[in-house]
Amino acid sequence: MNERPEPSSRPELEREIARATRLLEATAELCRLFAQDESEKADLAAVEVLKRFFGVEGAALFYVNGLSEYRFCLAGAEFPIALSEARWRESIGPVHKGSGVSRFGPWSLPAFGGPLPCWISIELYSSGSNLGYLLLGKSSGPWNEEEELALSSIASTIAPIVGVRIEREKEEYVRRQTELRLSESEKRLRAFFEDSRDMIYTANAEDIVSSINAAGLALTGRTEKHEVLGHPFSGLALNPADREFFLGRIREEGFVEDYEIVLAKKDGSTVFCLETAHTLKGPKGEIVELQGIIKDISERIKNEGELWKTNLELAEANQRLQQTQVLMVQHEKLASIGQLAAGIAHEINNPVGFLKSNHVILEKYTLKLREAWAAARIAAGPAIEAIETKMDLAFVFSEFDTIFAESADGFSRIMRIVSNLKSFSRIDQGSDFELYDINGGIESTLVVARNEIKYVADVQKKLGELPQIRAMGGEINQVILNILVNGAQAIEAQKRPEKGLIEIETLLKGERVQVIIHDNGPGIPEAIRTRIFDPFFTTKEPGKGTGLGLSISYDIIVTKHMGKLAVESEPGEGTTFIIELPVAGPPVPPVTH
Amino acid sequence: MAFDEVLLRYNELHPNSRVETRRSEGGDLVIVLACDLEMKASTDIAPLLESALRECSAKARLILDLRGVGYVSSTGVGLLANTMVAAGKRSICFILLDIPPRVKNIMDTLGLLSFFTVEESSL
Repeated sequence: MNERPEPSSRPELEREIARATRLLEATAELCRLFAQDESEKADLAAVEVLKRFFGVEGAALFYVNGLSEYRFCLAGAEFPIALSEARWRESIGPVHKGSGVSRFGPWSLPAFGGPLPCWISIELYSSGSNLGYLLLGKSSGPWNEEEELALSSIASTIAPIVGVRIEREKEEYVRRQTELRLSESEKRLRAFFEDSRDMIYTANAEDIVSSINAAGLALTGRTEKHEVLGHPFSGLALNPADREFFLGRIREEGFVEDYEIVLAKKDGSTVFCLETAHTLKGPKGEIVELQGIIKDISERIKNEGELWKTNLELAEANQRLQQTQVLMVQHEKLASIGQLAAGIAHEINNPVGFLKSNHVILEKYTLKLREAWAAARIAAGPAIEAIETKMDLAFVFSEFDTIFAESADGFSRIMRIVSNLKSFSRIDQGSDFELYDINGGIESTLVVARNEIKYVADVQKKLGELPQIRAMGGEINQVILNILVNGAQAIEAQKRPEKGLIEIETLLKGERVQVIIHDNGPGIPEAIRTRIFDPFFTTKEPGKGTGLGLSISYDIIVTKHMGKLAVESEPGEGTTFIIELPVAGPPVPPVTH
Repeated sequence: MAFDEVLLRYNELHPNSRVETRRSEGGDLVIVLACDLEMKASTDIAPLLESALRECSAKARLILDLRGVGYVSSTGVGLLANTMVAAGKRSICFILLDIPPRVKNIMDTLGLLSFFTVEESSL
């Protein structure tokens, strides 16, 4: 482009000044328009100013706005016109050649009126970018240098402004889009937070709840957020210590996964929950926030709990059944042994009876024979004396008394044993509670146990005066027998040189009687003392004990007779069993019809 | 697999929560846990307890010392319940020793504590 020549005269200078002033004013107006209005209305107004300034029929601005939309503003139009990119390029491309200024015509604006013969266009160029084109069209004369210079001057002034406007529009567009996306993201997150079926919450570093969703309120049985917000989370836990434990872990590891916690609802009911949470940390690594999701697993836990409970109940029932079965078998065995003993006693009783009777008769007859022999001796004289001497009949006769006395003692002992056997088994009692003499029971039991005891221990009795009690005597005797035999076996196991001692004491204590049986055996170690009444527990070598004796004894005394069976023992000092029984027996169940 | 082998393998895999065992004078097998019974740990310990039950003779006692357990999950409670059932089938007395209050609370809340034999050590 040529530079303008210097004015050579005053009028020329004045015209030049006037022209420059007008150009300046138009440029200033354009700048003001763009400054005052950031919308595309300013573009419309700008082309209007250009049309007026250049006194032309057509003025237009082709540009791509900040939203990457292809537009042109036409002087006289009310709105910018949107074109497709292709249409926009088809319109301006063929007429504006290269960069800078193009002159062309005749030409008409796309879809607007008839053609104008003379057009000039200038590229709006700023910061290395094409921003659009400014077009002016007139019906007469070609475009002169002065007009081109003026157009160039205006274009170079407004191009940076248009560039800034487009950039700002772009930024504004991006900002609005970002805001929109953020808003949508916020909406989505808010919906996710509020509509979640699980509890979602946040808490600060001190575990004070800062947000909670609707599910969280429902889970904790609260209706208003202010009931939770601003309060420590531990207040929601059934056991605050559980939350402290959780906090310890999350502070240490930064997260906690699948932590089970029991929450307490406002109404006091409990909810089993599964929590997964993590911490948000500040620039110095300090915890800023806890964020957690808590799921209600009460239903699952309830089902599992029921299952476990059922399994445990079944296992317990099964064990009880097995034990009961074994106990029943053992009871049955003991009862059978008792029956057998009683039967044998009964069977022995009769032959022993007639043996004893015959023995008495035999003794009488022997006496008579001795008297007859004495009479015959006197009558027969020396002949019979020779026979007497030869057969040593004097000695035989002298032994008769001893033999008969010893035999009579033997018969008495047999009959006492038989009687005690019957008394011990109390076979005639059946399974009823009847009046029972404990001291008598002890005596008969000692007879039965004599063989087990006599070689290993002496027995000392201190039997007090007792009333008869209501009991199943046969079973009580079995308990006493068990304890006595256990004591004797414990003493025997020590393989001590001297005999041990078993002491039996009975006494009345109010409405109850006590039988105290103490042995000075090795005692029971503390570790197993609580287990000696357990079924199958035994310290005896295999084959010597079933581990059921004391278990059955416990059942007889405690369950059947509502009594007590206790043990006291010091290792090395021996063992004391204390049997306590109510004199009146166990309560009699009401009669039902 | 023998119990000692299972124990060795467990301790190799879990160096931070090693399981110790001891035999009491009465022949009881005591397993000392010093880890939280959360889901994974409970799953890992299950074979150890199964093996321990196999190791115990009938009428013996398997004692689980829980003193070092800070937390028990439902899986952990399930482990204890299942071990209790399995022990019963083998006539083995399964005892929980020194249950921490938090663990006891959970078992109580689930209504399962009463099924267990619980003992406190004299220490």
